[in-house]
Amino acid sequence: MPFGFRALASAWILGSACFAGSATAAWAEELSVATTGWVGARVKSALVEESTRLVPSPEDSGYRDNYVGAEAALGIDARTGKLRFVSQLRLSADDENDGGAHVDEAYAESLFGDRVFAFAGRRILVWGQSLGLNPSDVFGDQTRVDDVFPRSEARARVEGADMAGADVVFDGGGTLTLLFAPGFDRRDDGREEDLALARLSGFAFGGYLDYAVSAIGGDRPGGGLSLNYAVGEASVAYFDGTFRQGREKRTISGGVARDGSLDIHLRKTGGITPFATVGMGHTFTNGLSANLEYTRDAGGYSEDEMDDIDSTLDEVTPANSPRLMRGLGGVNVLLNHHTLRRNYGFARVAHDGPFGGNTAVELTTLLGLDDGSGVAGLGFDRPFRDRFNLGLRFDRAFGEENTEFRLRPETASVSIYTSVKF
Amino acid sequence: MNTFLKSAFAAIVLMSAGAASADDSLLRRVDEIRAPGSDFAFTVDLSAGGSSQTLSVSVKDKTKSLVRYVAPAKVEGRSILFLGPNMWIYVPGTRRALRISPRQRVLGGVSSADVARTVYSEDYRVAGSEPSGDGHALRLEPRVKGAAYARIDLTIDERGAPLKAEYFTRGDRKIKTMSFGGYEPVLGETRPTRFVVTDHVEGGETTMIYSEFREIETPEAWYQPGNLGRF
Repeated sequence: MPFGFRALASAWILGSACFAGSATAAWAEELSVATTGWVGARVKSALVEESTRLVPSPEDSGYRDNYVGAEAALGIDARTGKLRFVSQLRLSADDENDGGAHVDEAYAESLFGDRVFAFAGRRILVWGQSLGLNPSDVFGDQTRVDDVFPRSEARARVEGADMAGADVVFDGGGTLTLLFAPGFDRRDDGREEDLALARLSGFAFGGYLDYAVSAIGGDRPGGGLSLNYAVGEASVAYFDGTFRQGREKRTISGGVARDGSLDIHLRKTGGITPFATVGMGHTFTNGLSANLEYTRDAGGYSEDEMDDIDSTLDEVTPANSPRLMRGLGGVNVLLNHHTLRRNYGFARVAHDGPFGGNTAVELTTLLGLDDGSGVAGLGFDRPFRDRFNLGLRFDRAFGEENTEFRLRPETASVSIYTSVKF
Repeated sequence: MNTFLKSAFAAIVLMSAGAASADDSLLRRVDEIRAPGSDFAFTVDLSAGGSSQTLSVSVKDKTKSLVRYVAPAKVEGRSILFLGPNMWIYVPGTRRALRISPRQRVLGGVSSADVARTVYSEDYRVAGSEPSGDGHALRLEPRVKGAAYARIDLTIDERGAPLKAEYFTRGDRKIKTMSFGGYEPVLGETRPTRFVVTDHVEGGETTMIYSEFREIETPEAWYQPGNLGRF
């Protein structure tokens, strides 16, 4: 998504001003600058259905059978004394769209004393252990993450959030994080909120358990909890959850109005809405690692709410009039979330180089337990020399027609990508 | 008679304790040879099957280790934190520190524990020993929950220098053998600098070359999962 000028400018000004101001004070310190980055290209071929109820004309809605794209990124990590400036600029282009520039990160950080790190600017900040659906990733928006790339790279290829904050480090492994993200716009429908967050993380039981508790402000105040526990020498059990007021998903009632508009609203949920994942990871003696997770999202659509959406879809399809087209557009906006329902299972099996080779393999499945639909992916990633890699990925949506993962017309795809890092 | 039995029992206990103490001293001597103190840093060059990696390792208070990936470019910026038997990995593309198990692999048959844990006595105790040539064969068993291996058969020479370690899982399955070599003077002691790991599960050999040892005090703040992204 191309950057907004105001957000970009504020991030750069805030980050650069912070860095420049502090750097002036520490001018005598030696400046070190490390640059990283990549240049890559990818080709994707997808199986796109002629139409679905939600997307009657896939081509007009931007779905494509074939895609060729390129991307380049430059990361800078400049340090002088106790000051640091971090940025990641990413350029992307494809065969049908003009290129876009993205400032994923641009923040300055300063160490005060030996315990307080204060930072300001745009930052990609991720918490939590869960791999499928991660409730602790409060700044994340999975709809913006390109799943073609390996799990170890995809989350950093998105724009971060503009924020200011501080980490206070304690002896014994504890860290208190305080931050404020004004105008945070993770929500898929463009709504913004001023998000404030306090998070305390630390260890217990001799380090076998690490925990994080959060207090979250903003439109949906509440709390968060993360727990990770080492089980033996090869397993990790984990929990990530948020418990915030209300919900993000909106519902429909009353059908389509004369002008095509929908009565879309936030249904009251009676207080706190849990969104939690519990999971287990295990590494086998041959290096194979496996993860199994269950997610409960109480803010997802219930059976009745899905029936309401289904009825509305019946009402607006076929969308053969401007009024019905408008109604269908409203449903599309409503359903623009990474997941829609309440119960999910996630499984992942991966190996960094099976059979003595160096091609990493990853098999994942996200299964909607409410309707049996889901998406499975199989990826291979092979390094060449020190800097090149070549990846191949297959994705397949499954389930009955008009179930969650079959609402949209892309049912399968194969992608090939390559990149060189520097 | 009763007094005799008590005395005999006490003698056996004392002899056992003495033997255990001698064995523990042997293991501490092994650690002294492997690790030059409690706070130090070194570089590791790993190679296996045509792939190679360079890691920078910092150790604090013997039990805290920070492993930073220096090369190749594909993995540069990754880091692994070891606090006792607990481990976290940071991969720049994920932007988060994930708890992992000590069995997690780094390259080939080498696990992160093999790289970052430079001492045995913090995680293992000597459960048995017997003479082996001029040295000893020690059987090590975990003294802490979450140690990377269920058993280690360690062969040492008369000086206490490790020669070979065989690693076993809980089912008594031998999964790898590490040979210690390349002994050379490093920071006042003749220490091993070349480690060859043979993987008995998937086959293949991985070589670790340790170099650039230096005694260095690193800040406590480095050894926090939340700080891994700052390296």
